[in-house]
Amino acid sequence: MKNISVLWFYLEPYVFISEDRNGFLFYNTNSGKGMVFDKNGIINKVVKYLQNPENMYSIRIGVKELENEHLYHFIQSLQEATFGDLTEGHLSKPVIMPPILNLQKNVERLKTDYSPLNENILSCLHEVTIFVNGKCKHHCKACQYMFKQYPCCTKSDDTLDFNLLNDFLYSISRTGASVNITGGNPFQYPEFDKLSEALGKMDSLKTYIVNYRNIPEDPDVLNLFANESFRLKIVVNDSYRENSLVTIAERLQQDNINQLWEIGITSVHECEKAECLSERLSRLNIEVNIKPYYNRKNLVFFEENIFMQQEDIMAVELDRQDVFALQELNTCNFGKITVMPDGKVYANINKEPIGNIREQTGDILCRELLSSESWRHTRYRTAPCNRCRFRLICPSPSNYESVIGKPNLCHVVQ
Amino acid sequence: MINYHFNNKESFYTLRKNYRLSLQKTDIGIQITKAKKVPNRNEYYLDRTQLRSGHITAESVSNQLANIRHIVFEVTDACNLQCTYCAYRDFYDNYDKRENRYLDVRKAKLLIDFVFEKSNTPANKSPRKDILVNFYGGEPLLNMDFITEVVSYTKRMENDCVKFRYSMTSNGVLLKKYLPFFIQYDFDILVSLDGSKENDAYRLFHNGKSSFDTVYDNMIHIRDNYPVFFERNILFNSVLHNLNNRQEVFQFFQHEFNKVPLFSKVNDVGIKSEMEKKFDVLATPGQEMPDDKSETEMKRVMDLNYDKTKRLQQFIFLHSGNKYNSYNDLLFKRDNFRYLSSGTCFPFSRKIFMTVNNKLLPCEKIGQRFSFGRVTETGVDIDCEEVARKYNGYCDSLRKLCSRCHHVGNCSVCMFGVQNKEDKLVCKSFVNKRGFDDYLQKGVDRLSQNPELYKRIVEEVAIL
Repeated sequence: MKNISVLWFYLEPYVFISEDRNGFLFYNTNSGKGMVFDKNGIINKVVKYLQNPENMYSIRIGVKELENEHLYHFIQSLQEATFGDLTEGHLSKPVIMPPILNLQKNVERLKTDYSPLNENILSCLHEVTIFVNGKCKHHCKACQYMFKQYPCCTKSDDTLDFNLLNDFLYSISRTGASVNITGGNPFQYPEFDKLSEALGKMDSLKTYIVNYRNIPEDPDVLNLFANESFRLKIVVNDSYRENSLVTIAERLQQDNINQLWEIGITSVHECEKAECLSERLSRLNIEVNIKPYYNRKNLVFFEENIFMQQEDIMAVELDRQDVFALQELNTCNFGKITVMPDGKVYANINKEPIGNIREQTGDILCRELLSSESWRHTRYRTAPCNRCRFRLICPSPSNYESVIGKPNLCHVVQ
Repeated sequence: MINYHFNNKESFYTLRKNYRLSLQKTDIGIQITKAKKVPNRNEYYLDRTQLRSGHITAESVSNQLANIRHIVFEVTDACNLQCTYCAYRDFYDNYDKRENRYLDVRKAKLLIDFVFEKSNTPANKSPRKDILVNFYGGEPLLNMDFITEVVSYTKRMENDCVKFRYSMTSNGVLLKKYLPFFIQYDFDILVSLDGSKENDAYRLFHNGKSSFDTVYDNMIHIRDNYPVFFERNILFNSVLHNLNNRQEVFQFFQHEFNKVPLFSKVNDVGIKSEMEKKFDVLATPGQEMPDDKSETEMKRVMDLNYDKTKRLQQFIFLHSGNKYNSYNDLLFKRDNFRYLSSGTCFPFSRKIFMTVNNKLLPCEKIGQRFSFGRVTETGVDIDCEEVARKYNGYCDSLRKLCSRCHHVGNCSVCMFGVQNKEDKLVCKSFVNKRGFDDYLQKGVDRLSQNPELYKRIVEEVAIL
């Protein structure tokens, strides 16, 4: 072995490299682990060489060069963590294909030709949230905040025309997209029965999102949710008495209603309270989600509990597909649209509408794909994230960023 | 031992060694130690039978029918040529008997109606679409009435959502006569021509005379009188055989028409067993010059479409794990995905082909005995349950063979072309472990010789 004076160092094909002005992030999609390195003369040179696709992810290194402490540490730690490996320098150069996405139907590629973009466009639709009305007799404090952060009811003055809605539902009936129906109080929608009948013809999952105070007493109305393709999502977003809610849940359970609870919280105190309720509901085998929402007064709560630290981002385990997905699409928004009672259609409720329910659904979806405002809104397109090496693995921008008015909910880049 | 190994789960290959070099810093410098590493035998274990256990459903067939974008009509089985290697002649036994028949336009309209009506259902995922109508033969120009009637009918059907486009595969003999019509309707025309007169010598009239001069004169006429149409709408297809080779054909088309033809091989599916030897002689292209200047020119002109680059492209797409078709493919996991046997297209996912005998097939390239429906006096008769049953049956019959093949997940073989010889299925692309390792090494070698193409192919090439 004394004769080895030159080595080949190569990276595995499942290793991604990202950089910013401070350093490098190497991410191994096989193990879901990342490693960070500071920038340094010789490391910069080696990484730059490896990043050039023409060099096929391998570099020739003289053993003598490894006496440089930084390079030695760099190579050895990558090898130890199975990010790369070494072979003898007299052997042929390792030829490894670096991970560079080839997305065949990439919109940027198809922009010049409208037809292929339209091809199969309806298969991009995965979830539709429809606000059928805005009528509700309650005055929840969170009414104007929550629905901008995740599907949830809100009040308004409009009511969606049923004929338009019916045509729309027919047009998407074979897409398999799940449908959320909410309001106001959707049980007060004038065409509630006809709507339920139209939804019954669709195979996909249908969820009515309703404030707990709007759940009807009449069991006949709730019968719909005994059907396995329907479910009732019960929103808790204001002060509540735990025992009353558990009683509602038990009553629904006795009637075999498919139910799911979602408890909105704005503080640690509310979170603790929600956990108590969640525990009691979970004992009934009922699914419960606790969801923080921003109410313009609780930024500190978000900063302390929701904003991400570098360790949080590094703890995310992603595979190759996940990393590629984060490059090209917003994994929170992609495939989702919202229809408001006035007929306007949104790809993201915090952005401008992308169309109206009167239009061809395919045309609306094409417009969104072309725009990159929501479905393709990634960290790569937004400052300061596009200058941060952790954009490689950081979750897509969510509605929280939009409502808080800050493009990054993290303490990594200010 | 060092070799390249394909990881089927992740769809990329990587380097595998049975030893490990370790670095150690000592007082006298860097020490390197070599230690044997026992490869984890389960690391790349793959249950191919399980992976190949995919099936299709009647519902998915029905969905495909609502999404058809390409109709091919076998306008006639008659032809004014009698090419030696024609897929409907002496070498083959997998086609319906040629009886100089003409496709009934009334029945063709029933198929168009069927596709149009299906397009108006919610199962159609492309509410606005172009439907390509392709006229195929025999020689389609022998039934020009059919073509004009179908074009007129489909033009009347067009609306905001559905438009029709037209294309035709022709031997070019009668093209000049009907040219104004094709220019008016913006036809894309694929003309079959195998190169110079010597190269084209298998393309004969019934009297045994060469068709070259007629076709060549027609092309010159179009080039000189309708240069825009010639440039945009005329494509050439050249079959490679023992009277030509790529270099000669390329030079001919560059010099005469400033065009690059599509190269295709002689159809090797459905060859009669007694004709195999003769076929092999004919189907083997003539010797090429290794350092011919036309090869360099071909590489320059064709760029990423150069055939050797295309082979590299295929290798990269199949073995880099970097290729995804759509945004949905990026979003949804395929953890429990089950492949079908072979690499056969999903029925009707590319096109629907109507033969002169009113049979319906998923493609014109497969034997006509594999009919999946027909057009009757009253309409289209496709039983989706039956299509799925038949298709799954073919897949099942291949499963044993495919599960032994190492091209799992990256096979491009159509199962309708797999031959049954003495009750034994024979796939020309079957590879065992050793064969696959050789194939992988060749691909890696090609990549190491052209590393500059890697980035370009991954970033630029779309094979939609």
